[in-house]
Amino acid sequence: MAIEFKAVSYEYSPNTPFAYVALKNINLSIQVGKITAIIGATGSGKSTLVQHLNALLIPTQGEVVVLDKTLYAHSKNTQLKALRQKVGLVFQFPEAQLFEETIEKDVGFGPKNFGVPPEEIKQRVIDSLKMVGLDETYLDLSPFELSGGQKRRVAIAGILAINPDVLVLDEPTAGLDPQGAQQMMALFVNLNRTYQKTILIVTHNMEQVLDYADDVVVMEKGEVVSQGKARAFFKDKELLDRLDIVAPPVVTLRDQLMGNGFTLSEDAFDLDTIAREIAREVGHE
Amino acid sequence: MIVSIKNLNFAYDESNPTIKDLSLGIKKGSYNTIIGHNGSGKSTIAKLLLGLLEKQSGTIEIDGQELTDKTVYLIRDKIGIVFQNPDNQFIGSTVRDDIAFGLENHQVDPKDMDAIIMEFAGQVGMLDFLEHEPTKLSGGQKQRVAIAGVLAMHPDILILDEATSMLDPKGKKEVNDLVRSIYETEKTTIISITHDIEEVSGSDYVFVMSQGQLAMEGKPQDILLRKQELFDLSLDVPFSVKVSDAFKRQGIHFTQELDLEGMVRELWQLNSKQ
Amino acid sequence: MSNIALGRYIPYDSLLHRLDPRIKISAMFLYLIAVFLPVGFLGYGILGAVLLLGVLMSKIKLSFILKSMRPMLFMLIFLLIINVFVIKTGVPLFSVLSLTVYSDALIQVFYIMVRLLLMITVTTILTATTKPLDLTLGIEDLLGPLKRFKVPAHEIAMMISIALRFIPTLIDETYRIMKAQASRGVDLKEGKMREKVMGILSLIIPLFVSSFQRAEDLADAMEARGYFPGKTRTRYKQLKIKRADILFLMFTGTVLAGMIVLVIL
Repeated sequence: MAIEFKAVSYEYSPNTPFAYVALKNINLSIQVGKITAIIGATGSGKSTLVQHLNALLIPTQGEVVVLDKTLYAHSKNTQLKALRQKVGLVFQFPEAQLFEETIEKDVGFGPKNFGVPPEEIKQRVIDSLKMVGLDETYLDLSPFELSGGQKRRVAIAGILAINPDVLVLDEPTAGLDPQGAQQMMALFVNLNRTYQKTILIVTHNMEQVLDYADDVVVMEKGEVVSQGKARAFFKDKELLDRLDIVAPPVVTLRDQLMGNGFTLSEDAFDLDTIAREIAREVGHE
Repeated sequence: MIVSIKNLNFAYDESNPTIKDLSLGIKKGSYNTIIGHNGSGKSTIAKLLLGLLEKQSGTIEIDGQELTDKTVYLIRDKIGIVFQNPDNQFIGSTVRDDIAFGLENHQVDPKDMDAIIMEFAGQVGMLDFLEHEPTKLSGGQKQRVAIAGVLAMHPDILILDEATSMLDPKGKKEVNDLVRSIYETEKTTIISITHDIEEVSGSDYVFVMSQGQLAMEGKPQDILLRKQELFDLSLDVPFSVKVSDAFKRQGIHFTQELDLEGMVRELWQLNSKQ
Repeated sequence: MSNIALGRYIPYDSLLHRLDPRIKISAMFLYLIAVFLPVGFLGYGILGAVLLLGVLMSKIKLSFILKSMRPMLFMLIFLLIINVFVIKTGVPLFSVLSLTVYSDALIQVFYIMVRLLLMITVTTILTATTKPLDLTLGIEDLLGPLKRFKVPAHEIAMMISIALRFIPTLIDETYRIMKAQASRGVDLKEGKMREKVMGILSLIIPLFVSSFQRAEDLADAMEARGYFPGKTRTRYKQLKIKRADILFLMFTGTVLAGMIVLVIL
């Protein structure tokens, strides 16, 4: 079981004046069971990359291995629906995909399409709504009556109800207020820890990468320029500078403290650990 | 006071009013931020100020002139606004045409338009993009075009209604830097509705909205230290406050909680004393 | 979408590109009148030659225009069959099975096809050489005299130009929602009829919702920037008739006059 890109290239509108190569010779291996962040500037190919994971896009060169399925360029790939059941993709601003009269029907739309028996659908709907923090009183409401943040939760529940093994999220917290964003990220961590879901998150938010992701994939102009552990990435000052990425404030604080002669352990990447270590150093407690 | 709101009430839905008996005043030439969780009514204020929504009761005065059906067009001339979604406010089919749109509405002589367009496209750094279509621009570039279109009308007040919330970090920085420079060079009154707590730190005055009412107001250095209240309103606190909190739990208290470098200095002094 | 030739602007710099949109629209109408006169083989020969001259002047490749003709092949066959069955005048030419084909049937089909060909070519030239916005301005000016009869020429033009501005945005949006619903198992290719209907609904409803949201945002943005329907505005793009424009219109007028003479004689 793996997720792997082998020499993958993707070109939009090939053989037309509008042809555009969005991915160039991508070799990438994503750990199953982890949270991986995919970062990079707008237009660097992040969204194109993740759309290969559930075969919305098929590589124009190379192959993509997703769990037990391999997608090949230049060949007819069949049974894509089975793959889409295993890999749930949540687009940016997913609330745009709501359309049913009730939340129950909308969340149940995916499972129904994938042939889940009707008696099971209702339970799945209730469970997935619960995961996103909404109770049964929401079932009969129209999704269009909800606030923006609630709509997004319902849309995400609609993907969770399909019960995918891999969940891919394209900027899931864009436009949410800080607490809404934090709750959303806590949800994904819970899905990963409690339900062993593999999570991929496309994000611009470096604090989220540092706080929640195990691994990080960095894209630039259609190429993968770095992949590895998230913390190691933020220690590589040269790479950060070259990619024009502003490190999260915790990393900056670490640097400032170490620049002032303090020593911090490799794991000290959250405020409480940093404060504890510094307090020990200056002789408090 | 360039903006003066008294006992303002508004509801989209009668049973659940969006703005409840709100009163506030904004000083001319100041940089103001309005914060509040989603649904707190902060964006509604912007639309009420421009008369895009009709208030139910209360008064709004802009630069000494009361907002009524008769004065609404005069008042809109004094206020420029940049909305959240960069796509839904780009009216022209090119950057040039979009900046021209406002000029046409204000019956500027077409002969003068080219010079004006060049001036303001230059000010927002979009001179090289005049013939570009919106689909070929980034979110940050589109918002800069929106700002150019607004500046060309010489507004006394510039409102940013979550104008950076849909942008990537680069776009966010471009727009924030631009607004900062407009504030400093043109002395335009800025009202920025935002979730960006670091932008709040840099403003002159902050209004905190909750459930259609003003929960707090004051200078950022006072408001941002009221951690528990901000937390209860689902709002974030600046990073430096989080740092100071973490150290407080270890028994280390700083004299200054909003200045990160100062805090590191204090720690350094503690260390060298030891 | 990239294969549609009809109605697409091709950014070249040619004599035709530089002409005033009002002149081009008017000339197109004069030409179309000529096309619908019964001018006979000679007339169509001349009209075709004139149009070929236009294509050359526009620098647009003939293959580009021919591409937009391809869907008409089906129509040609359809027309041929109908006419062969219906028209029984003229000289009997030959028989297939028990059906006799008469000369008038073929002539009739020929005329219809030539007219369609000329019509499509002339509109393709117009849209390929005129920016959508200029086309809108041209329409607005030509509708101008109708303002006296309460025809809202300016508002019509504004509507057209906003629609043109939002087409690419809506196409992007459509693709995005299609992919989002495909991720939820919508299968428009292989599903059952009922599933397909649901699939289409799952695309159309979100598109409606987002279009209304966009319309509302856009209305706010326009009003905030001082737009008010019916209010006097100035216009940035000023259209100016040049000598080439007058000559071009006179030439087209002459062609029409020539055709009229041809019909009367």
